[in-house]
Amino acid sequence: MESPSAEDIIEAFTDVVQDQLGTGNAVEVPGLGTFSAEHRPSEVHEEEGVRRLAPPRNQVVFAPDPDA
Amino acid sequence: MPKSIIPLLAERLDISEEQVQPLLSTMVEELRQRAESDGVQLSGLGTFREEDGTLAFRPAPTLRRRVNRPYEGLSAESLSPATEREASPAQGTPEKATNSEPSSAPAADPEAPSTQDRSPARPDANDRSVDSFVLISLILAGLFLLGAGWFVINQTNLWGPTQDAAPPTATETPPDQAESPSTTGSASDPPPDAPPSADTEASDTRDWTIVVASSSSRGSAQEAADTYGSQFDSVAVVSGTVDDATWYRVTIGRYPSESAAERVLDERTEALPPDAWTHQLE
Repeated sequence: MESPSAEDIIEAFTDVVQDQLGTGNAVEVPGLGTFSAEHRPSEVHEEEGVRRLAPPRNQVVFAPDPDA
Repeated sequence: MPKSIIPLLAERLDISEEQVQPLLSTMVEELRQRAESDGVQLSGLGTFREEDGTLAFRPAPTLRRRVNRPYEGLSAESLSPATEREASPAQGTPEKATNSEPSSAPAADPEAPSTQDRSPARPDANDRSVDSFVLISLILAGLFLLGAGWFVINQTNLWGPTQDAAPPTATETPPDQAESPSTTGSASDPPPDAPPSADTEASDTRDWTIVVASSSSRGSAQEAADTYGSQFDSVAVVSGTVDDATWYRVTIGRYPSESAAERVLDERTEALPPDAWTHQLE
């Protein structure tokens, strides 16, 4: 198989990160950082006297590679 | 423990890991350089930008939606006192709800201490006030009635015979078809470009929908459904369990695929709320 193009690499990179985060896995990219999805449970917040119920969420977190 | 992307990329690109490493290094180097200047955006992933000497990443909406599939269509809601009361049994502390069942066994026989000798195991029972037993009993009775109500409602659903065998941990129940006809009835003359109704299609294959509102209260969700019922001819309230709490999504239309739902989402932007999401029913 011939060497993949830059577009192929970027597309595969995006797909892999999406897939892994979508299944709850963290992904480490050497020289760049680590992508992960952290869970935020449902919470009640109070803003200006109004109580609001925020649904649970998964939040994408990126930790840059400290060695890069 | 994070997975290294190298073997995953090798598999995706059908090349060896040794071949992936220089390609990935080149891409990362280029990405960092661009992030230092103007920032760089990768479609479907997000934007990298150097901020205060640190590489920062802002995820794209597509990625945020991807990781939030289980919670899609849910949005923050104001809690009125009435809503809070209604939401609290399902919303508050699921662990306590489940734990209350085993503990309810001794609590359910408050007469027993006077007739049977269980004193070694129940030294604290007499310390509890009667009010707490009454309160617990009322809560248990309320939960039982809620469960019984749900069972009855589900049994009367058109979907009931095919879907109600879901396990207790099922995350979603089908739309309450028993209520949607009334909504549909109120919209006897829907707009000509309203999303297609699921009535004429095999519902088994139309498991994608558009979520326009959500609430932890069924009543609030039904109110929203009634509002949209005047604009669309296939509005339903779908209950789903998220993190052990019940949420109610207001859905519009039933579609055979995500792309079909997103097409309607794009075409009906002006009639749908900005945070409307496509959602796959389970």
